[in-house]
Amino acid sequence: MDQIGTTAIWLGVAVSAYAVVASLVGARAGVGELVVSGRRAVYMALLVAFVGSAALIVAFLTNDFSIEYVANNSNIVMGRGYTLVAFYAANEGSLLYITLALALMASISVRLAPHRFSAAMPYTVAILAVVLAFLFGTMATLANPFETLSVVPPDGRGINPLLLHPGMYSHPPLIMSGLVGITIPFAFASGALISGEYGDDWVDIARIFAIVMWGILGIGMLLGAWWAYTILGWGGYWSWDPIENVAMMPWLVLTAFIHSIMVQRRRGMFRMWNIVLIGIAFVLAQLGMSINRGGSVVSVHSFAESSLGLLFLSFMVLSLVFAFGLFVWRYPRLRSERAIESFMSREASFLVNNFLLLVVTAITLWGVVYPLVSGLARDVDVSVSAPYFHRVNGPVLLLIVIVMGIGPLLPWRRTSTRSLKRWLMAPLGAAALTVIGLVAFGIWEFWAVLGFAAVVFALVAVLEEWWMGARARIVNMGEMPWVAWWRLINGNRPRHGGYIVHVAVLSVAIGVIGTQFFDQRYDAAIGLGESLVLDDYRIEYVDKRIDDRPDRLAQWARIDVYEIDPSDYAVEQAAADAIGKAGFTVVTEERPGDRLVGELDPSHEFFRNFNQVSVRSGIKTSPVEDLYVIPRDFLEDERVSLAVSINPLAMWLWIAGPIFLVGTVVALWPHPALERVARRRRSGERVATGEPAVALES
Amino acid sequence: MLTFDEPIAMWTRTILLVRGHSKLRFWVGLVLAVSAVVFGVVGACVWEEDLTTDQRVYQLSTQLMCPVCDGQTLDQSQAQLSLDMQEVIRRKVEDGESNAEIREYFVDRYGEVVLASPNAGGFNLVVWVMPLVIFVGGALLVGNAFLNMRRQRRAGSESSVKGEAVDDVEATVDVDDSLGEYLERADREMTVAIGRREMTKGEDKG
Repeated sequence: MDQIGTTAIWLGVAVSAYAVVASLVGARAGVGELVVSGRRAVYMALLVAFVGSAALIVAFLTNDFSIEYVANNSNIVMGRGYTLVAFYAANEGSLLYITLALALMASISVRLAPHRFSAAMPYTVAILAVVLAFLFGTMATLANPFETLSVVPPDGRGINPLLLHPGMYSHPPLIMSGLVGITIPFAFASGALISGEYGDDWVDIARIFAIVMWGILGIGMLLGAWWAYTILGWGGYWSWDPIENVAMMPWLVLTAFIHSIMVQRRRGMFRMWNIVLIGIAFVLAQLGMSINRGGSVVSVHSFAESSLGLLFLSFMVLSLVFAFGLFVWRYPRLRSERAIESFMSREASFLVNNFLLLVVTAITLWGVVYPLVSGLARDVDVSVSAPYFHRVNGPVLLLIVIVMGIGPLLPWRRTSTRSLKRWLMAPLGAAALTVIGLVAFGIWEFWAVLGFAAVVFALVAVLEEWWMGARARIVNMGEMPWVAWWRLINGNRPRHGGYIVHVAVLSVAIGVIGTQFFDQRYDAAIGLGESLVLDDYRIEYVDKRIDDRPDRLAQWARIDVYEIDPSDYAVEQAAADAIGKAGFTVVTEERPGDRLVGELDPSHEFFRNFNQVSVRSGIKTSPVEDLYVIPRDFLEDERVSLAVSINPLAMWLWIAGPIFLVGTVVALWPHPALERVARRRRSGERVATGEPAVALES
Repeated sequence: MLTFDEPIAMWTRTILLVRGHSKLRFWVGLVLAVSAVVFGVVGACVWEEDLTTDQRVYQLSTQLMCPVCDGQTLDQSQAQLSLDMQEVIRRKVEDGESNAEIREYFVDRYGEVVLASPNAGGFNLVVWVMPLVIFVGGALLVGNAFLNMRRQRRAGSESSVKGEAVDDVEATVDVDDSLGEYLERADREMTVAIGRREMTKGEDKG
């Protein structure tokens, strides 16, 4: 297997290098056959990447421990289902994986590229092939997954136990392919730029792939958060860890890009800006991959640590220089044909949106690199973690939510103050009522109330937009409400898909505000037959189960959750309040108000080989709040040390996932009518279309 | 038939009510403004003393890093050291030390790296000021770009494009108020589209 694999990788180097040369020479010398041949070399790269991956998977399945990577990441007892996980669990394999992912997406995009894009195509292919060649080359020289061992061990070391989890099937591969896939919209933009055929032709295909990568990254991050929260049991879902940040930054820039590219699509504006944005996203994705490969910053995720970080960092710097140089070179051709007419227009609101998203990105980047800055400048190590990012990014994120409420209400080009005011009445009123309502219920946290008000504001703005549109159809065409709404959305999918995603983002915002401002935490050790009372819950330690194996010691705590009537426990609560305790322990006895609401089975596992603890939490979830129990330790005296939290509104973080997916798919769904308009606009007819016009057409 | 119509109709009515009466509007505005201020002032003041011991221990455990775990704060980590440190925090809170004192204690022991976010002082002031610089600098850039575009447009519009006046064609749709507004907007944008299309066709012929 190792020969097949290594051969495949060297072949990969060869075909991608050939693709670069053939495309460039073909384009320069005007030899069409060479250009076509260069394009086909990309398909060949996919083929060899596929062969290489297949070889590695076969090596895993056949327990071929003569290959170092297999020996390090598998053993005889490992479930065959985890072969796929082991494939990308460590450095070399994950390189092969992203190569495969990039080759696949590159082939698809090259195949799908519209005919009229042909002048720019060789350059696009060349850029894609350069990145492929870099990845293949890295594997061939420094990180060959098919490196063999001189002495074949009888059994492998096994995979890192923290990775033995179903979450490994989704979160890491999605993030990795999302990051590497940003190469594709970048390649199309740069290709257009180099060829000098810089019209708006690249926009459609770049938009499609940008949204795909953006969706993949978004879902990947949500799944990671969900995985961390529901299973890994460190009590949170997002810790502003450097690795999380480097995945989020390209996502934020892509968010800006897919907004502002709509302006180019509809109004032919922001041309320079879009090129800059996709360049930044690409460079940040390189940074993400570089940090992922280890070295420079401390992170919980550094399981793939290696010396490749520096190599990837160099590649990032090269990308940066390339993107910047290209931009400067072609700057004179990038003039927009039109200028923004009014600050009260959708294009202006996109400008504000871009500004805010980039501010968050820049601040986050600054927070990520500051420990390095501090280390270099004064030789003092510092940490920059969640509290910092909450404070500096929080207000900007709040502004973004507010702009999400105003933007959709603004038409293209311009609007009158009067009309805007009328449209803002409902969202503003709803936001004001939210403030009053929350305060009436005794919720005073300033930023939280402001946050909720902003969310309601933006939500009502979207609902108002839908309501008015659907209503027009109901009244004029006598359609049923749901039909009307559906046709409205169908009438302009990119736009309404975007609104659906807005709703998902607002759902995340609700979850974040709830968990960040109103969470309660109580740690205590209780014995069997004891209960812990926190807020309106009684948490009873019912039973304990042990599974002692050679490789691990696993212990489960059976926990029953009761909802209680606080008046039953008034005496104990008063005593606890007096000594400043949030909760208290009682001997288990059922009181009249108690009602069993859940049975949890959290576990605590200690892996002896790896000297590592892995905790799985027990969660009793509801739309209002989650009761979250982690067994931190099983003590000698038969007690269990529990960390109990109440996380209000946490469920809304996960509800956002499906909504986000639906919105992304709706936005991506091909739309013949709009494509026609966009094409017409490009072909010089300059049709400035307001979307509602299209919505009312059918 | 339309059950979900009701709340929205109510909304619209309430808004129309407020909108129609300038006095009412004034009072509603005043109440909102005053409550916002009071609320902002009171809400923003959370004193350490108002929190229970447990709350303070939790708060501090989110502000300190676990020294032996990569990039995890104390509350996230299951490491023994992290549990021990939280015990120390609890003792110190019970002894009446302030949050700042407790943080200082750990900084003396483990160095600045133990703080989850650097103190705003000395060299570390940079880390806190930079976001503001980024925001203001970015805002200036965007504002400048916007003004430039305006200037450019004003210079351009004097010479050509009179045809954009189609924008002002008014649609008078006499359905009920809220719907009329939507249609007005839709119509206006549609008119723009049609107007432009005709305009360019005209140019083609000419």
